[in-house]
Amino acid sequence: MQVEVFKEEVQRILEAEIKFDGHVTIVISTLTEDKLKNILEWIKECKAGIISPEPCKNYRDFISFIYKSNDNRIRGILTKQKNAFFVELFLDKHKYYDRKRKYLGI
Amino acid sequence: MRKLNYHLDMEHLQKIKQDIVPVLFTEHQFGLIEKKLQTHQLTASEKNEFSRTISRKMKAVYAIMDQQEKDVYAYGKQKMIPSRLILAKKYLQMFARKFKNKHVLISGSFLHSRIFNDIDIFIFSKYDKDDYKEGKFHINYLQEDAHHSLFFASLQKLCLSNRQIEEPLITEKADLDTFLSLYQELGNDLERHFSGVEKTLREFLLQAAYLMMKPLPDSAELRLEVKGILNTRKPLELIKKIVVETLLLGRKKKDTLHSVKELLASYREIIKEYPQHTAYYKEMMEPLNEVMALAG
Repeated sequence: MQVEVFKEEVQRILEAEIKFDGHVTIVISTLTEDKLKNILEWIKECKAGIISPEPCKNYRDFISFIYKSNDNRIRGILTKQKNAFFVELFLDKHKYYDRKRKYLGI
Repeated sequence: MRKLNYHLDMEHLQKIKQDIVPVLFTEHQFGLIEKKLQTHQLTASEKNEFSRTISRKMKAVYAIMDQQEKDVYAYGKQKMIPSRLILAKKYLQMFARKFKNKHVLISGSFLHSRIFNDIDIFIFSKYDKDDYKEGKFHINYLQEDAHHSLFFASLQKLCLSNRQIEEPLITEKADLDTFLSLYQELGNDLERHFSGVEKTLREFLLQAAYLMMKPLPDSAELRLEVKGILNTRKPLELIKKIVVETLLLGRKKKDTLHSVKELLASYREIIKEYPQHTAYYKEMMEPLNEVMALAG
């Protein structure tokens, strides 16, 4: 799947124009189709309210959904404004995920 | 002084006690050596005495006996399986040759457990590199600042190193906020049955020990604790108890209660938006409510 196609699909599922953070382009272009499908499935579940979000202690207006791939290599954080729209998808390796998590306070 | 761990073990030390006390060490100094070998925390004055007298005497003895094995330092030797120690020394020298001028460590279950998945090799590097597997070896890259992390402080208690390791100075940010974040992440991992929950639990337990000012567990102790908690029918119950204890008795921040109060308020707001997850959030809130109720 091409990077732009993936991003468009994410925005279509979330029905919002969101920002992308982390080394998203590298992550998307290196993952297999199956792994990208898993991420899209996770985003659908976030949108449908199947997955429970976590409060962001440093940004109290936001909540975040956490994604961890089974092989523990890729991490994702989908951020949403409380009672409103999705704002950002972060996808990256473990180390950058830890930084982002600390930044958001989750 | 860490060299001591490599050359001595408790059993041998007890056997030779009458030969070295009081000729070489006083009874008190002998007690300190025992304490160190058992990886008990030394007080500031004991550490001072160690480096001023015991360490110097030991170095002199080693110099006379010419027993120093080149570039192999073993820590927590008494917990290692002797046959693994022999192999690990060989591997350490092999990887030290491969990664020239780098600090190389071998740690993990290979050293102390009959059953192990792979052999963890840690390489300290200026640059961030991806971990990789090479046969039975798992090569983990750590950046130099990891020398000041809780992870390293635990790791160095039971390892083989090609460099002498001084008592690590922890500069990693570990406070009640980071601890609460780990609690959130742990709850999330357990809720989703995430296979990597062990790693999050290890970090959580290390921060709990640090905040409670308890000696940090070494990798063998940590492994036992993690397995013990995850093998119970309700791991979150034990984790919640640790949260209460750490928040009430650990290193305090002025605004601890304020942070807890804010997190509780956030959970309440999320429940309004995601009522389908009420049971999960209520469970996560339980220890925080207990802290609010018990705090003076």
